[in-house]
Amino acid sequence: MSSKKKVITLRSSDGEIFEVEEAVALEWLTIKPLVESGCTDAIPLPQVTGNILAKVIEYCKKHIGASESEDRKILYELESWDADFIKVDQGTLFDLIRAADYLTIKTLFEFTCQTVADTIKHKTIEEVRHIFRESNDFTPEEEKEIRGKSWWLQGL
Amino acid sequence: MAAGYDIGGCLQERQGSSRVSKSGAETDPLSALPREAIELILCYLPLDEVVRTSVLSKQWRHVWKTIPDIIFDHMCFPIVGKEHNTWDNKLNLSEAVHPVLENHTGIIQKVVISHPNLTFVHPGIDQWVIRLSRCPLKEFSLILWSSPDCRYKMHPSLLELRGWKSLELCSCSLDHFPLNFGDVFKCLRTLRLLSTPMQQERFENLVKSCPLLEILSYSHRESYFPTLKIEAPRLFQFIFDGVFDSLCVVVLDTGTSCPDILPFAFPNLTSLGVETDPTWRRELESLFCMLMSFSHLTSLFLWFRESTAPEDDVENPNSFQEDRRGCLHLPEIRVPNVSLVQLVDFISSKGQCPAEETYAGCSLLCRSRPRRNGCTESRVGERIPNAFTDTSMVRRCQYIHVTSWNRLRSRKSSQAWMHSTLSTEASRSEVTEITTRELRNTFSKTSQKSIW
Repeated sequence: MSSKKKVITLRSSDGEIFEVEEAVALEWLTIKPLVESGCTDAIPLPQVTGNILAKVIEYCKKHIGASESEDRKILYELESWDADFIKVDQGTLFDLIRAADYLTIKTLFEFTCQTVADTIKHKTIEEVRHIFRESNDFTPEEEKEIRGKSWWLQGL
Repeated sequence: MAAGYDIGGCLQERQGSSRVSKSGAETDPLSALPREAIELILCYLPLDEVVRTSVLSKQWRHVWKTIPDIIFDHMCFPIVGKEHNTWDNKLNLSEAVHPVLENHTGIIQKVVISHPNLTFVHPGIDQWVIRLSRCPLKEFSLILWSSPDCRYKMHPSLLELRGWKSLELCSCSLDHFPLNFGDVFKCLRTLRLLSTPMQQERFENLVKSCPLLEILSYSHRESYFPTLKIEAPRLFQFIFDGVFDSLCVVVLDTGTSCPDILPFAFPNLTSLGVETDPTWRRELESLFCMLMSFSHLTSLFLWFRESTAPEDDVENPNSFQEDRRGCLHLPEIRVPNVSLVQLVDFISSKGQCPAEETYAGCSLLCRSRPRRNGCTESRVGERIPNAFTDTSMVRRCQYIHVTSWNRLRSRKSSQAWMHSTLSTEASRSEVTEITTRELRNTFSKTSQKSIW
């Protein structure tokens, strides 16, 4: 056994190979049992593409250990790093959420969902529909009925 | 191969639980995101926006109805001026709250109803409480801004729940509740009663029935508890906001003189918030007593208010020292572990020259032995309290937070105070940071040398 940090190999849906430190992979609850069992094969991640997996690894590497830090300076830097990290198009953001959900990475999942919530806030219904790729499938009567049920929906 | 099989099984299971279906974007519109993500996103939104998602599409119609936390506050109800506080407004609130509670189909765990425009006892609140008593509700905050003579009489169905973790009531009345609470609050961790007066026996029983209680707040200025005893073995934060005379009788009998130390200790109490009139002898005695007794305090929050002391109980600034030392035999005050001191409103709010005895009181807290403060500055508004000239009490203090600097006449005098504080106290002790809210400045001291 080498004393060097153990490295886990991951394979994305498009066949790209990534190597991450064991400590990072252990934060991903979905593959944690595999990592703990000493799996040496490349772990296939059929739902995550290479470019998204690269982003996920980048985020987790940055955050490992740092999130628990009590040093305000470190936390402040991390915050501004996060803000830059999440400046991505909406497709990528949703891909990140799906990847975080699939791999069960709590911090990334919460952060990306919070980002979506911030995007939705104060938007019109039409804009929110667009964000969620929804189309209005209500008949005018149905919509009127629903709107009548809540004070907040009246007069929108 | 075996490992490969495990991988597949493990990931397959995960895939099923999250309802991710990459190819089914057309058939299941919600699949733009996993269900858990949608739920979490809704948790981060104010309630009005959550409810609004019901008109996005048919798929979204009922999604909002399962959110676990329901929060009615100023985020979803804009605050309107008092002149708008008419029947229309009351109606709106009812029309918003009631349908949400009635239509919700999931498990409600937390409800907050708190809004500055809730200045009346709404006739629908009873219905809301009854509705909520049918949920496995764990956290409930009902914050009314009604006047003291118009409190909401809490519906007793509240006591039918058993999973309480947090209960916060403002302007409610519990006078009709039973004297004993049984196991209703056996899991309660946080209890805040604001402007919700209780008879002493009921209050004591209530606290006693919460063996896991960690945070206790009680605020009602007219409460009078002659010899209140609080049994809360896990308490770590106790905030008593009110006239300090009430506080001194929380743990002491006012009939006798204040003891040096309380007969029972709170070994887990690390945070104490007190509003005090530093010119009132009885209050100071009680404060000293508490500081002596709560030896594990690490945070101390002090609100200083206008002097309301009765004339026969005012500390005479001229005889301060003799009185304290000679008659009352106060021991040295040492709060060895305190690392946070927050002083609020410690300058006279009338904008006049702050009373000298206010400084004396402030300085009292920070000196090992009370003695009159040596303020010699003469110009109005620019007096500088030498509050921290003796380091014995706050030697371990690392963080001082002072609010309401605007009460000081000018920025100059604020800075003068900072200078005084840092150059005397901070340079000799371990204070590493002093912050003020009003000036939006942070004065940091990184080494033993003063920054000036």
